[in-house]
Amino acid sequence: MSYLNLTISELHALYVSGLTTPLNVVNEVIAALERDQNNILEQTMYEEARLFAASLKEVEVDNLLWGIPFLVKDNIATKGIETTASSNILNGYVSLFDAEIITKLKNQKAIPIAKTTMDELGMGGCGMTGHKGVTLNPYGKDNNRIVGGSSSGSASGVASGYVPFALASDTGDSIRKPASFAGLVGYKPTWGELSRHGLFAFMPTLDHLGFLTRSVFDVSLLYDLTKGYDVKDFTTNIQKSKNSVETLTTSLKGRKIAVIEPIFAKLTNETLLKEFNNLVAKMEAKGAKVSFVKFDELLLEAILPTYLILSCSEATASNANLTGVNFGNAKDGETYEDIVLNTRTEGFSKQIKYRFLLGNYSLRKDTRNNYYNRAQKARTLIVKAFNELFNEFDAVMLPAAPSHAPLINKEPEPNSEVENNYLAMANLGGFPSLTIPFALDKGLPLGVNLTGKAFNDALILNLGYQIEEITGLYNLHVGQR
Amino acid sequence: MDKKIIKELASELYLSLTPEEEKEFSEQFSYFKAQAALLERIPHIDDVEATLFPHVEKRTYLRDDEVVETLPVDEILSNSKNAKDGFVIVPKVVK
Amino acid sequence: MKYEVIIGLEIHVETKTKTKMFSGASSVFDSPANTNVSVIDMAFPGTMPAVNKKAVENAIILAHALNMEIDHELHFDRKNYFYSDLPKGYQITQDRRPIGSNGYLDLVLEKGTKRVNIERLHMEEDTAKQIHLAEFTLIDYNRAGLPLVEIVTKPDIRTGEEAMAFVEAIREIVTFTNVSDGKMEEGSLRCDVNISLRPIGSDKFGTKVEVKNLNSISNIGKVIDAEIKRQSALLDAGKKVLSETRRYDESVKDTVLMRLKDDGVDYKYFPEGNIAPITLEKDYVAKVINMMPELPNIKKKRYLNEYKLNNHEVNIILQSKDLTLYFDEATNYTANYKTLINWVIGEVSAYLNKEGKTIKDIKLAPQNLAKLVNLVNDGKLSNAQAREVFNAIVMTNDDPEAKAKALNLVQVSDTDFILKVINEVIDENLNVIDDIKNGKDRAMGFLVGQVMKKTKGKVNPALASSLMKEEINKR
Repeated sequence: MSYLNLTISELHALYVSGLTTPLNVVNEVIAALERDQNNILEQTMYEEARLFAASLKEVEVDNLLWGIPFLVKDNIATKGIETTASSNILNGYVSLFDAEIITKLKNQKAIPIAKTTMDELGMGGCGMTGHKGVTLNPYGKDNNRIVGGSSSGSASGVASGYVPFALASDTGDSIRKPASFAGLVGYKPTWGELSRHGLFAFMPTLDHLGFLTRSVFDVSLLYDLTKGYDVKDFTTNIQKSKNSVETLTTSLKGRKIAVIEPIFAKLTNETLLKEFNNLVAKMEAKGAKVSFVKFDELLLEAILPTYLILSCSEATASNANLTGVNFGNAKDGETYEDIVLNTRTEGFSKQIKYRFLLGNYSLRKDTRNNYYNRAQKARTLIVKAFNELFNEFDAVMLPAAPSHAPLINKEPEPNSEVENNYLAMANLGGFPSLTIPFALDKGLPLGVNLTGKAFNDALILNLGYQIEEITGLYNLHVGQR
Repeated sequence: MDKKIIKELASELYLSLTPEEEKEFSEQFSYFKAQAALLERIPHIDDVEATLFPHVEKRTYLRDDEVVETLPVDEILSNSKNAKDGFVIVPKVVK
Repeated sequence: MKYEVIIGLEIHVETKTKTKMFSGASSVFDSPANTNVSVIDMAFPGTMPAVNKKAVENAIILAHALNMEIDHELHFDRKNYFYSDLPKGYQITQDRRPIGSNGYLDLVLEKGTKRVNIERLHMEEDTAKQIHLAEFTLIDYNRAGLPLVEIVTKPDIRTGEEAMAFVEAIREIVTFTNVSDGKMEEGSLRCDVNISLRPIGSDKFGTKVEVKNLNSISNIGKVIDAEIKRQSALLDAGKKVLSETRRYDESVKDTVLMRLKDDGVDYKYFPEGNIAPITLEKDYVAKVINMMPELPNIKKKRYLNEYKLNNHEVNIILQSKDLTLYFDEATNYTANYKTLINWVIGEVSAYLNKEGKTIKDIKLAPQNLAKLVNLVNDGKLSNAQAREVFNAIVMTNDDPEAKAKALNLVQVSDTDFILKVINEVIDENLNVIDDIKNGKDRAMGFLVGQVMKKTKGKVNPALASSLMKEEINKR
């Protein structure tokens, strides 16, 4: 029997019934990863995983994460393991500590197997800019589709069915967009729910940790088991949120869902439109009320520039520690300045340099009023507008992406900024935001996104679970190639 | 964008761009500038208060001033190519 | 002087904590290089700052001592620049919301009181230490992340004397409140001077010159004098004073150029997104302030007004926090404040100097010194006898009265005995009596001295003196 392509609960059941052991599973996962052709791996942790798996002797019946293997996006610190954020400037950098979320998962006896590729330093949305090159989507006939980014390797690996879940991060849509392209459940909780200790920072007040799985239950379980206040992260939430698993089965009856009409109106993929409208009808049949609502279009257009300006600006500071002096892939130089200049010039790809320059420009004395400062103000208005919507509605629902996963060399769609990038509103507001698959477009997954008010994680997960019941698209995977 | 400014922006961050990269950046900047201009269209945008954190709760926690053991010297310096004899060593830095 | 001197000071205080401002690494001074460095101090990716409670309390105390408004919400910002001693490539500081603002310090100077207004007081973290060798620079991250408080005055200071008095007052406050060691020579107190000149009567500020790396209070005065001289000469010659950063060079006793100041470096400040705002509850702040040790200026008022001591003795004792605390403790056991303080700044200090000890090294408890003082004031011991007792008990802490008895030093006040000796002395010096009767009072001292000699100093001199007068009058 194969132990791949299983959800957490399914694998757990096998453990409980004694049909397999963590070491068996880990060995199969490793074999599958070694056969993978989609360029998803950074540093592997095979030896550590085998040792850990071998040490797990007695099944913990009530611990669903016991012995569950998982992948880790390479911008999350793993002790004793090279962690590069897919950037050459961190080649050879071995973290001396585990991220809090890694510690929590290991305490639950879940087994990290390997680090995964990503867009360099988290800055990118295609999965093409990491130092190992393009990461491929397992969906699509000819190995020629992107999986999105920046959590590309994690998404591709989970979509291939190797492991039930992967850890990932989301600063603008880096979990929720690849989830859509890869038929996965991708969840970004409320800001502050998951400790960011150990997550390589990109833009602190937009950065979130989250999960990629193949079922809503799995993501809900993971959220419940890893959320909570952490003294090491001075932005983790004080108020204790309720667990989400217990309310997944609450019915859709009486729920009010808003579809933002100006975004929806821009979509052109006919399958997507048809399937979305089908979904709406089925939700209403279950008692939900779905309304197509207006929304200030200037603010919708403001989402991308606000995200770009703020994230590029603060990325310059988040990565100012990368100089090669006390760690990192240092290059030679006659002077201290040369060492730093050479290390950074050679270590960062040109795309990263461009973003840094844009960020530097946005923060400079002469220009910051029209860039950084103004973006902070636009953030206020965008967040306010969504909160007003959330006063009336339980969630905003929209296709997570305008279409299925694009071909690698395809030109970007013209005028596709708003519907392509609106997901960043959930980072600006720290809103809980979930992408789940809702249809297949000639075999290629389409995802729908649900976003709600901050601290309403349980509600959003409940809605997602109900929609999953409707679509039946549960545990979608491509399987072995 | 003016080449001089591009070079300033880059050198402030200890980066250097090739001429091709400078040209490509110029194009990216045009796009960026056009995006930023969308913010200007929002009425009274500059009168709005800035948002610094997505949400704010009352928090009072401060870390107790108790020593936590740190890693031994060779370990804490293990990631530095410039470390020797317990120090990080660089060519003499001029202020 | 045709120029008005405008001086502002920027003082950095390294505050006393067991750990660093944002990490739990030890802050112990002078540890072997890189032995107190956490992953946070190294700025490894994924690390996050954790605010030190004691550092915040130190800042609250200092802000209170400087009469400042205390912000009840903590906000931090990033000050961005690249330098080899700054691992993160930015320093976490407080730009928008300093914990203290709008304060002042009143200086007591010879010419009167002068108020220096204080613009702001904020928390920030220290940089790594660099050791510059001939061809290399060694970086030690032990110091990286230590808690600092920065105090910025308004440009109210006008002379080197005022500047030195201000820094001395700060030093006094930080040591007395236990907030810092306040040692300029160790770097726990640092001072930068900003100085400009303008023609008297002008209201336009001249070009500011910054002088850094001053390592003693006296150097502050020297630097200001040197700068006044240098800038006046330039202005007199019709030249411009350039905006520069300079340092004091001991060997030439003058300031020398470090670098030209940029027209304000752009630090691109923005909020520290890894520290959400922290509320300082009103009663927490009040509790911290309540636990603050008594400020030196409060002590001074008490000493002058209640104890009726004079400025001179008060200023001397306040120079040493430890001596002052010893004195304070002793005042619980004696009301003879005058005698007590003279003992502390006199006999005790002389002993410490001679033996190369500090007050913490002696065994004599303040309570027993107070007892000794009381014995003197009650006439039971003469000063000379008390000194002998002191030397015997300073490292044993034996009870002074018991020790005096053991040494057979108890001062004699037995009138009959004294009269007997007095009459003996008079009989031996009848010619002196005539002198005294003729108005030469100085001879009294001689006679009393003879009595002291005969009794080996055991007699109460005041008593001997008055009895002597009486006997002479009888003759």
